[in-house]
Amino acid sequence: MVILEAKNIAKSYGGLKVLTDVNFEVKKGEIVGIIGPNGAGKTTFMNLVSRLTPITGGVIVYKGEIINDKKPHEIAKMGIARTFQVVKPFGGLSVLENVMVGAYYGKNNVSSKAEATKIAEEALNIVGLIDVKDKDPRILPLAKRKKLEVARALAMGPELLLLDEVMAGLSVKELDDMMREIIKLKEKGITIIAIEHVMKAIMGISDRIVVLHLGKKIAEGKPEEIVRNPEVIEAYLGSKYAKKE
Amino acid sequence: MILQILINGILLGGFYALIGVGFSLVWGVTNIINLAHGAIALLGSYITYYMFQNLHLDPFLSLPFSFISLFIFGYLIQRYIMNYVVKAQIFMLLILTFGIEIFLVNFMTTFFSANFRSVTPTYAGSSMEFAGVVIPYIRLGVFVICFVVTIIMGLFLEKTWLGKAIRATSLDLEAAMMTGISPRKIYSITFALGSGLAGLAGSLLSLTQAFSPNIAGGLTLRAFIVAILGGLGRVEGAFIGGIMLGIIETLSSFYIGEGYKNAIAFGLMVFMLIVKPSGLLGRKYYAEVKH
Amino acid sequence: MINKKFLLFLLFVIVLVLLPFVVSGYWLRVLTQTFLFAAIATGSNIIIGFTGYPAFGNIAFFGIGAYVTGVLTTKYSTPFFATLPFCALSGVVIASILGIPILRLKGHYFAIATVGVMEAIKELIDNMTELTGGGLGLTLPIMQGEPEYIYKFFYFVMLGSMLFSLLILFIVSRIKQGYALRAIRVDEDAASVMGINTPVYKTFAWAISAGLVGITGGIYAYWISYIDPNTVFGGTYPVKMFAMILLGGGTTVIGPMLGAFILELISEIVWSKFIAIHGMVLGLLIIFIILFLPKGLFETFKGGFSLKKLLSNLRENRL
Repeated sequence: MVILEAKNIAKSYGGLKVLTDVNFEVKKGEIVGIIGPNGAGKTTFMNLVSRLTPITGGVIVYKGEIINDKKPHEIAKMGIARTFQVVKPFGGLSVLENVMVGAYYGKNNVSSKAEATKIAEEALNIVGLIDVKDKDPRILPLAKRKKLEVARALAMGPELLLLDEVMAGLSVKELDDMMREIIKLKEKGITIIAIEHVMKAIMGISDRIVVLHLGKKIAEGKPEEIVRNPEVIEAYLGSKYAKKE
Repeated sequence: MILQILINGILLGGFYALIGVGFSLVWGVTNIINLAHGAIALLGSYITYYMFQNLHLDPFLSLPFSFISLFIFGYLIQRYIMNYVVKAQIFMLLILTFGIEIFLVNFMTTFFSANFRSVTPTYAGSSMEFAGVVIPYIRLGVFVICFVVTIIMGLFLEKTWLGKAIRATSLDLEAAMMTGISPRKIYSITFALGSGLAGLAGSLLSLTQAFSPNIAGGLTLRAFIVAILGGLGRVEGAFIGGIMLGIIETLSSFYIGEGYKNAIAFGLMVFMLIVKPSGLLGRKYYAEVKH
Repeated sequence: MINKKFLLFLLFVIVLVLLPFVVSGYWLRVLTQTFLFAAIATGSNIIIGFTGYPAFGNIAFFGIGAYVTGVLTTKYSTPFFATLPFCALSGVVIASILGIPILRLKGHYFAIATVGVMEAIKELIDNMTELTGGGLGLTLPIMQGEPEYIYKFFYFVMLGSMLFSLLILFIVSRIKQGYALRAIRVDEDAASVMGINTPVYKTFAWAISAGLVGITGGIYAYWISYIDPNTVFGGTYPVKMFAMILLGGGTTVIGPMLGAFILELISEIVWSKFIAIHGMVLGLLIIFIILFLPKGLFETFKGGFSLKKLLSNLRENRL
């Protein structure tokens, strides 16, 4: 079952075209990785899906419904959650309270403190942050902050999770850890779209990869196919290294 | 009648342009909204006033003193006070300038008293007539000076190295730094310029109306509106914005009444902020994009 | 939840309640004024410190509340306490309506727009001469009774207003909406993708703070018995309110109140000794706070007092 469709997506800021004619589908339960050199429009695409910025052209369809006119908080209630590249935990609230915000306002939409606490603790358990639940999140090291982002999104009870460069800045061990977390999420039935630069990680966990370059989709397919795709190689390394057959 | 009103508005507008251009430049380049701008202008007014009272110096001759003193004053404030807060959250700077405003206004009230003053040289009342419209000489002189200063500012920013450095800083701070421009110096000089221009405007103000420390806020407000109308950091914009404000104010004064001047000015400001914060002529400047 | 901090606070309140019976009229007046500022700062903190929208011109609602009580008691012979709900209501309604366009602005643009609102409302009231007395001001009916009784009456009413604002801020800090507001302050986009309807919440925050500040304005009007547009709209109130929130810390419940106490105390000492330069000292104080204590007194000196900590702020934000 297709959970998200991007049809002829275009985005411009004034005269600057950031995305042109991007088309692809995501099936329920998949992990789809979006990669591409800097400036390809990956984060912009994510901003479009989470409705933080208007869609200039094309439609995005989520679970059969066109979401172009929805506001970000409405998307959240429909089951889409996202993380941000630059992680800013909500200062003044403890780690647990940060995650409770997701439980209160996401698709879970609970009203009682008890329910929110329960959901939040569960999410913290999944990412392995339960022992720091009462701490000030601002003192956490990077890897833990990224996990907090994921926990916050999880507590919302999403069906579709958008991860924006969640692997960036992690050490080798932390990467393995995070990759395992993400697969755990897939096993819970959550569909995942992840923007990544860390190749090993994204190739390792994705079912399919979509490659964006200069605002256009230049390739799509299984990880093994993508690494050998000459256009992809050219986009990253220049034509000298792409062997066109 | 309407012609007279329009001319009055234009003459007033020239003055507003002058008070706005320094403010707009500082805002556009350093992202500092200087709430003390009006108070600094008034310092210029008092300089002219006292030089006229005690030294019998013709007000127009006091202009250079006013400009230079407030230039130095502005430089010192920026370098030694504001520089230390520039990287903090934006509204901290706002409060800081407000604190400076409170200090200055109270300083002036304490030492110069809250009484209204004005500067009235012997030629104060004379005017000329042109096509049935009365144009007081002083107001005309003020307008001409404002116009000339605006042109000089424009040329300065366009042609001189320093001017170009200032514009570069406003467009892209990082790129400017890479070409060897020291942002700290530019910020200090820009602010000094803004203050100098404010002082100049204040001196001219003393000739055209009665002033007291309490009108500082109103002056800052007008500068603010001119900056928004004309687009941050744009000298031509400030001039046009000033004229527009002058005309709008004189017209509304005539048709709606004196008492609502500030309310209308504020309404206009809020309206512009919501509808087109980059100003009528403005493009996106570093200051606007960054926040 | 009984814990040490709460007991300390309770003790503090008990002391305040007992004070009028041992202390002279002069100090009662000073404290009443302190409660006034504490109430304004605490109420405004909902939108400023918690939600991160620096509503500098929140004093507009103070003035509106003052005139609501003023007009109702003079023109419509309304008893004092009955006017207070109207003060709150006027703040809530006006903030809700204005919030629609103005809360779209961020940071200092929002701050300035709220100042614009404050000045515009001031001028409107100034011009509604038949209703409000315009520039000549409005004189309210003086309360009947012995001076002693009157001092105590306003002391307690103002104390009540402060405690009420504290209560509301406390409740907001505990409920889920309070979490949402604080999320908005840190990162509005992140908050909205988590499902928080940010425009509604911001308006909600502003409306509540406007209501609380409105009540305080009404009490002020009846207390001083004379109001005019220049005193209740602007003057040094906005900056004092802001400095108090900054000094005490905007992310806490009692921070603004503590900031109010400290600043008012200093203000009173300076005013009584150096009347002439009072205004200048206030300006300098604010400059000092912004330069050296932007995170608030308690946050900066959490680990202990040291001169170094004061200077570190300078270096941090230096260009």
